[in-house]
Amino acid sequence: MSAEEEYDRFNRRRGLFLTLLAVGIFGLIVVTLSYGDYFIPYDEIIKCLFFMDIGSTQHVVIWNIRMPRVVAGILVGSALGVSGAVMQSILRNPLASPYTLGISNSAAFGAAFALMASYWGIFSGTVIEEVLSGVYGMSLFAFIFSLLAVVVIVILSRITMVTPEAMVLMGVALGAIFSAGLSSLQYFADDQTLASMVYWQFGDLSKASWNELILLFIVWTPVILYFIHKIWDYNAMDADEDVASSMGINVKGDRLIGLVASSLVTAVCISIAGIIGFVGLLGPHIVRRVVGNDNRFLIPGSMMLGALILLLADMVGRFLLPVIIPVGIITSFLGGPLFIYILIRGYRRNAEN
Amino acid sequence: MLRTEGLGFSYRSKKVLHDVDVSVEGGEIVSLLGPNGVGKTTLMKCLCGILKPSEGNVYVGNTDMREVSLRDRAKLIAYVPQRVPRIHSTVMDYILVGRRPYIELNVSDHDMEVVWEVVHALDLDHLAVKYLDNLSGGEFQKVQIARALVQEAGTLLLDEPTSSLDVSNAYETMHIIRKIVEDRGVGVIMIAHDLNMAIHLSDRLVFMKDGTVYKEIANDSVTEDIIRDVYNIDVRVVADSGKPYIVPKD
Repeated sequence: MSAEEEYDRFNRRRGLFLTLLAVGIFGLIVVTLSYGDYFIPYDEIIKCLFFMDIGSTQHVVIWNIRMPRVVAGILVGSALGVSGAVMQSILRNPLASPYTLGISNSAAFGAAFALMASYWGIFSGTVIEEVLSGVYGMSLFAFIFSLLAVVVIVILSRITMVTPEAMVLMGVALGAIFSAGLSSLQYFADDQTLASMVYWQFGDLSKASWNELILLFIVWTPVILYFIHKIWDYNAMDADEDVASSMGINVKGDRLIGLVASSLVTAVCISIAGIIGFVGLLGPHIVRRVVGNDNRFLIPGSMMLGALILLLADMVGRFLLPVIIPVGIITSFLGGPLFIYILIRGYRRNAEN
Repeated sequence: MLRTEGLGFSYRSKKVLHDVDVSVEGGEIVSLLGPNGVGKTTLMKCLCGILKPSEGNVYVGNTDMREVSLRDRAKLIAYVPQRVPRIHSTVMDYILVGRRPYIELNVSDHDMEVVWEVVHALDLDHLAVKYLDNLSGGEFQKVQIARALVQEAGTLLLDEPTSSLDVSNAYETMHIIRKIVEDRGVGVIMIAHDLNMAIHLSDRLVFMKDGTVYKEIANDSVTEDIIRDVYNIDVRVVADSGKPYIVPKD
C-alpha cells in the first residue's frame, strides 16, 4: 500500500470516528428524551424530532420539559470539550482545561458572589444591582471572575516568564484559592442563599431554561466559529511556538484570545449548569488517542465527545444508579483519575528523555 | 538570495547583535560558527522575522523584508529551531503544518501534491502515518526539514540540525541537507557546533564574535588563528584529503 493510500485510509478512519460520535449523540438524544416521568417510545421521539405530529401533550413534554436538558448537555459538553482541546493546544499542556486552569472555580465564585451581593445589598441603589437582578446577572459575574482568573494567570506568567506548561499549575493553585473563596461565601451565607449556592455548585443539566440556553447559544456560536477559523494557527502553535511565530502567527495574542474565548463560553456554561469538571480533559484526551493532535479532527471530535460524555454521564446519574446524582459529580469521578494518569505519564516520559 | 545589511538587535538596551552582514545564495550552505551566547540563534530569529531587528534590514533578492508580511515571508524563508517538542501527531499531519502560510481553512490538492513530493524525496513514505512519538531522533529531524521544505521557501534556516543526534543520525541528516541543497537549489544557513562537520558540509563559514561577524571564509581556508580568536582555544589544523581538519592541540 502506498503512503498516499495509507494516509487516505487514516483520514477515512478519523472521519468514521467523527461520524460514529455524531450517531452516538443522536442515539443518546433519543434515549434521554424517552425517559422521564413516563416513557415515550423511541420512534415517537424520532418523529417528534423531525417535526412530525405525535399529539400535542407529548410534543409539549418533549420540547418544553425534556429538550432543554438535552440541548444543555450538547451545548455545555461541546463547549467544555472544545475549550479543553484549544487550551491544550495553545498552552501546549495535556492537562489544560477550563476546570484545571481554575476558570470553572473562579466562575463559580463569581456566580456565588453575585448571589451574596444581592443578599447583602452591597450594590443597592447602583446600576450593578439592576444588572445583578437581571436574568444574566449571575452569568455576567461568573464571566467577570473567570476572566479575572485568566488575567491573573497571563500576567503572572508574563512577569515570571514561566513556560506555558507551568501556567497550568498556576491555574490549579488559582482554582484552589477561588474554591476557598467560594467556601467562605458559603460559610457566611444564610440558609436559603447557601442552598441555592450549593445546589448550583453541583453541575446539573436540569437547571437550564430555554432563555438561558439561547444566551449560551449566542455565545457558543461565535466562539466555536472562531476556534474553527484558527485551526491551522493552533496546529502550528502546537508544533512549536517559534515555528508558529515564523509563519506570522501572533502566538501571544492568539493564546490570550483563545483563553478569553474559552473562559467566556465556560463561564456561561457554569452559570447555567454549575461546575462540571473534567469534561474538557476527558473528551480531548480520548479523541487525541484516535485522531492525533491535528485540530482539523481534534476540535470537532472534542466537541462531539464532550457532548456525548455529558449526555451519557447525565443518563448514568439519573437512571442507572439507585439514587439520582448530579452530572458534575459523575464527570469528576471519571476525570480525576484520568488527570492523575496523564500527570504520571507525562512525568515518566520527561524522566526517560 | 538572502542577505542582511548592517543588521543589529538590542534586548533591553543591551546590544546583542550589531553590524551583521551575512548572505546566502541558492544552492549554497553557509555555517554560522562561534561560541555560545554570541547571538547565532538571535540572528536566525531576526532573519525569519520572529525578532524585529533594531537596526539594519533583511533582503530576499531585492525585496525588503520590512515590507512583507510574516506570513508571506514564511514563503521565502523557512526556519527549523533547535529543540522542537514531539507532539502526538502523525508525520503527514505535522508536515502539513508547513503549508499553513498557504492554507486558509481547507487543504488544497496543490498543498497535498507539494507535501507528497517532499515526503517522497526525503524517503519518508513508510513513516507517513506514524506518530512522532515513535520516530528515532534522525527521523524526527528529517520530518522537521520536510516541514520547512513544504513552505517552498528559497532559504532554509537550520539551528544546530544535528546537535541532538547520534553519529549515524547526524551523518544521515547532513547527507539530506546536502541533497536538498543540490536537488532543489535552496540556500541553507545553519548554526553548527561541530567545526569539522561544518567544514565538511558547508561552502562558506561565518565566524561570529562579540555580536557581529568576525570573519567570513571559504570552508577550506580555516586557520588556527581564526579558531583561537573566536573560541579562545589552541588547535591544530591538519589536511585531510584536501580539506582542513581540526584536532585539539596536545
